Amino acid sequence: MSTPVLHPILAQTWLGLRNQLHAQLSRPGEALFVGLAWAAAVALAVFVYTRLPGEPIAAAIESAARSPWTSGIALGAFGFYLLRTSLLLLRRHLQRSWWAALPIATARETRTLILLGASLLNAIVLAADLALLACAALVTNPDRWLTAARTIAALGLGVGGLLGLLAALRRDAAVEASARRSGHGVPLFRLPPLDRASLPTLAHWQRIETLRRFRAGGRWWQWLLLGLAIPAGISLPSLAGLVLMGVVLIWYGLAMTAARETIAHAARLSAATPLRFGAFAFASARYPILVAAVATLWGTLALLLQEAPRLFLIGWPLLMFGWVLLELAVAWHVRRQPRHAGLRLAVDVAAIAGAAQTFAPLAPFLWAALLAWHFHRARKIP
Amino acid sequence: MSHALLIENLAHAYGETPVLRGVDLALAPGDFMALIGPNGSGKTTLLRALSGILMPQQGRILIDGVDMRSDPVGAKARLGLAIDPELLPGALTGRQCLTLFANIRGLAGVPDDSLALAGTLGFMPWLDRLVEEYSLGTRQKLGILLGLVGSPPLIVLDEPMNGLDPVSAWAIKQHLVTLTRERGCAVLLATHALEVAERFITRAQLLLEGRCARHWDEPQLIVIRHDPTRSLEQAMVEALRELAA
Repeated sequence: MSTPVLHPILAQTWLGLRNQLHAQLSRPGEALFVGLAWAAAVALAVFVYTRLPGEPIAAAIESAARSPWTSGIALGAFGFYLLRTSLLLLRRHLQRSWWAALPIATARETRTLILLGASLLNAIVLAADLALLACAALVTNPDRWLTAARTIAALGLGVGGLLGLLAALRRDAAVEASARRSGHGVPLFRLPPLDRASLPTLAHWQRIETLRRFRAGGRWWQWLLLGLAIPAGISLPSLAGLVLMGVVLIWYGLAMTAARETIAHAARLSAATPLRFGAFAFASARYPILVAAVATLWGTLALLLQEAPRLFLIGWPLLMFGWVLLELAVAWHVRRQPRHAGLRLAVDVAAIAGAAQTFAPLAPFLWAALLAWHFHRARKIP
Repeated sequence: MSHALLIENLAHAYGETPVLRGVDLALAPGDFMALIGPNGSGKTTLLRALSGILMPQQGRILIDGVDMRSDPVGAKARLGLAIDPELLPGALTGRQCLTLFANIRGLAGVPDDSLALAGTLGFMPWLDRLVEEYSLGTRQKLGILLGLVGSPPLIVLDEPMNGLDPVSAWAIKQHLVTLTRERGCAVLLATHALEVAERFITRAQLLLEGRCARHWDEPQLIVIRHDPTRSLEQAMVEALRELAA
């Protein structure tokens, strides 16, 4: 794998993957769990796919295909952003990690970036093409739009991605992106309920990590998806509601991830200290629960602006608080080995969603059982 | 008299590879012990086990009389471990880290002792800056300060002088000596830099292939110090050669 023309990070990655595979195979229990989790995720994806409403999706794609320039430019922007961001992050890593001190020719770095960029671009175009074919399989007569949509997707993503690759290869772009990404995490105002309780630093730490991620930006693709979801002729209040809901969802997602990762980091930092689990759990739950409360308020306002049905207004707080409690329970449970935290959470959510689909009253019981099990396991960790 | 640290028949393996093979070790209050040994001798695993980060497969660890297995929180309340600089959170300031550790130990704020030591180490200008702005040496100082918060009965440090300037290294050693002599704290210092530890320690323990291979008590160390032709480093190398033979 390692050749003189390419950067040795490729060889390192290959060796790392190989070692990881060997390590995984040497732990059959964990390998079985990961295998089952992936199987469950694939099964869920197939399940969701078979229940997708084909005709509305086809109509939306057909409508987009009728405006080839608009759709092409939107997809181009997406491809540009994805390629440029991914490659700049890699460049930054190469320039700041231990690779920076090694005598590696710049040409090898450039060739590697081009190779990885081209591979990523091909993968995106292929994924988009497969997604369109999958959508076509859901309807009886996709010929009206399929060829046009595939062409627009390939050209839009291809040209945008190529421009993103060229932009990432510019040396000054890496510096600019690095400065922009560093962000800062100074809150604009104090939150006294967080400061007054015990171990306020933990909640403060979670808040700073959330702010840093939010202010670092880089959520363009989510905004793009939101933009594409806006129907034509939407009223101003509904548009405001949709935008507000987008902000709430992005912020809530970032806060949950930041809280989970901070819990794992704080657990490692305080591993040799006399910190009781109860105190740790109480201190690390305050900020995420506050986020859920605030997200509930703003999200409800967004739903009201969109004149959402009453069922949504009832379900929204349940979703926010149900999610945060499950997220926290999983984070506490795997705080010493947080590598699979995301996967565990995904499996739990998939199981609850599956239960809700099959027999709705079962879902809250399953949620409560999972919560109790994770909490019980978390308490057992010394 | 209760030991500050008592380890009995400690054994641990990573997979099929044994790392600790029946370690017995005791530290009395006021002891200042250097834990020495070649790379891979089990020093770090021993420190992780006695700090409660790793649960050993066999053996008993008592910190100031409290069993780490049956009462880990109680045992850790009597232990201070200098934090690995890699683990420090970049998003927090040094003061926030110290406050967190002080709160965990049941203290309302950063103790005056810690602030005084921070001043001696030249750390005060960094106290309210983000950890991510720190150099390796500054991180190392913060890691040590965190381990010393509340002056617990047992203090454990793993290569604490790495990256420290000579003035700070001297200040840390003086502070540790003061803690052992005036407050009866016991210090366990894992290090390769024997010349750094030689003048301050009261005992030295050589760990080899997961076993306690050789021990030097205070009278033996005094003899080594007063002989200009000898050093602890030389004594360790000789011991290693003897054991290998």
